[in-house]
Amino acid sequence: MKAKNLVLITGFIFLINLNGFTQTNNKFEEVKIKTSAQCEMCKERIEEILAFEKGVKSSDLNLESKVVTVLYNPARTTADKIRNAISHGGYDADGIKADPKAYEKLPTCCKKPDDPEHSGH
Amino acid sequence: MLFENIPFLRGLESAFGLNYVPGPWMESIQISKGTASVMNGYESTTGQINIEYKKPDKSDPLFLNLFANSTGRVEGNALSAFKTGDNWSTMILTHASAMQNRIDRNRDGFMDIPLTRQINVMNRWNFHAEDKLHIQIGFSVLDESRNGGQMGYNFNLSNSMQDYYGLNISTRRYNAYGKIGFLFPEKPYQGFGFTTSATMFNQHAFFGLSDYSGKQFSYNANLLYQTIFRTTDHKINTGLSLIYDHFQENYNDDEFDRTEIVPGVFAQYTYTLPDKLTTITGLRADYHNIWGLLITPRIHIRYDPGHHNTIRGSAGKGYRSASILAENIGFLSTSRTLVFTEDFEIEQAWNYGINMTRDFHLSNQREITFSIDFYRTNFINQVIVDVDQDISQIYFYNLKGKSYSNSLQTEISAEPIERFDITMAFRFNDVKATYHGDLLQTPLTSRYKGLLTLAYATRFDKWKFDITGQLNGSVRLPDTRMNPEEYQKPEHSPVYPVIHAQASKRFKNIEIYIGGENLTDFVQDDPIIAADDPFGDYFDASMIWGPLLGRMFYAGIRLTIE
Repeated sequence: MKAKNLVLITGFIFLINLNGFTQTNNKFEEVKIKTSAQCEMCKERIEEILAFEKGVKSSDLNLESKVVTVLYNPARTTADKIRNAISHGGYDADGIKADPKAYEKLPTCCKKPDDPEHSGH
Repeated sequence: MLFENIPFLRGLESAFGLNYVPGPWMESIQISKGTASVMNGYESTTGQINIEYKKPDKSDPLFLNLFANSTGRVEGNALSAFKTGDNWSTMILTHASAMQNRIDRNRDGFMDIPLTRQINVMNRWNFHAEDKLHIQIGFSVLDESRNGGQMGYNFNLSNSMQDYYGLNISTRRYNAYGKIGFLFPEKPYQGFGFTTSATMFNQHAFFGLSDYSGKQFSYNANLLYQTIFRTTDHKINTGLSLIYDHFQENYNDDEFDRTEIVPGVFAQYTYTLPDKLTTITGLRADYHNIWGLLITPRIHIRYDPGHHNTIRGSAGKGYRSASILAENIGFLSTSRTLVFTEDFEIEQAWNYGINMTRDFHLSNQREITFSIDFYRTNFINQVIVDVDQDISQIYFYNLKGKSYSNSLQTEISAEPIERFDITMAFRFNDVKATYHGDLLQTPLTSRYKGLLTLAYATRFDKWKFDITGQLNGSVRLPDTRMNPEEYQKPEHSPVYPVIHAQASKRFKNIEIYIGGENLTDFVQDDPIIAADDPFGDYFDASMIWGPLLGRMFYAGIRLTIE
């Protein structure tokens, strides 16, 4: 093929690779999700749910702010899938409400303060 | 043995006991040493085991477990629980297992382990009404068959059509039970409870040319009332009970029939000095249709002197009506004749024990727990199984002389690193009984046992690793000096170790595990006396003191659907 075309194609490929290179450098993405966690047990439960979620590398829930910071691989999961997993565990996750059946199974200290079943500690 | 505080696996069933309880069905197991509370009857003398099964209102819609091991044993457990209304929930528990491989690693012509097949199904229902009324009902059916003997034995042919020695034990068991608990609305410390259970147990067996059959029908009912006296520091439990047992055993030409009807009444007082002392004193009186009035006093004390020390003590009496053949079914695969010289009296014993536990705190906030306990049992009457008196007979008679057991155990447990547990324990046993005038160590009981377990789990139990080592002390073997020289055994068995290990990995809904048992491959040498002449005068397959199966590997998978 002509030398000019070869240079153009090579340059183009180089550019694409450059983009790809910066992408694989930041393989994990971070998302902060507001939950309805109440107590230390909730922190354990939410972090445990996320430990077994495909694509999640780590999670850390702050009980003061009730926000869980999740590090995940965007090629294997999405922020929405993570929110759904938290909801499946019985907790609110940003705009997604807790799954009612899972919420019922929570221990009393984990139920929301306005719930008559909530027990203080 | 108790199933959720209801007595079970009594009488003829006690020999195989835990074989009828599949592991995955258990939620928890509580083991206590020394005499138990009078509330559960007059039987438990040296200890009590209570097994809680998984509950319908707290279990998953589907739990599946599949297991296979290197002997060819396969096992499947399927559990399913769901709510059927506002207050009712139900659960079905099923178990099926089979091992149909003939294995003879020691080449003595006999199968090392029996061929087995078991199906076990249970259905249970739970009713809750606002924590005040609680009803539970359950039904279960079990069918099991065990086949053993020489490798060439054909289980489709009768004994008269072949020259090989074979054995079979076939069991069928049905049970139904119910429990009602009621707490008074304004007084949660006051309430009634009623439990009832009926079991039908049927067993047919043959050992070479000898036949055995055992039938048992058992019914028990217990009515309990609990209240306090002035404050919750004084608790009172009282109640009535009824036990009905009908036993029918046949061994060749001998028949043993027995019907027991035992109504009883009991009272127990629990005194608590908060954070310091708890004492439980109980007394029960039962009127046995055969043995008259049985009085059972029991006391338990727990004292916390401070500085992380706890002292526990217990003392009490226990009675037991023995089912001689069923409890000694292992002795039936022998050429010996069974000799019953007299009617059996009820077994009676006193048990005393003390336990001291201390927690030490290490500088890095880690804890080590150290405990030591001593238990002594004195038998007033016991059915003695005498295999020493005569090499060609087994004598059964009521105790004439002393029979006792002294047991001392020390244990250390610690968690030196987070999620890494170590436990070390050592136990000394001094168990003697009077056999034909001589006070001898009871045969086949170890003088000592040692245990070491190491367990490590990563966060959230993603990975778990366990290793267990046991050291078994020597046992006294029955006297074989009158046998021809090639059929004689030493006086004591050797000391031997057994090591088990397991690893498991957990995913979102699945857990897989692999493990090995008896990793050092220690096997008892020549367990069967006169294996070359099973229908002769010296055949005896009852002197088993060690593992018969060598190194074994297994793998399994657990699936949970929420």
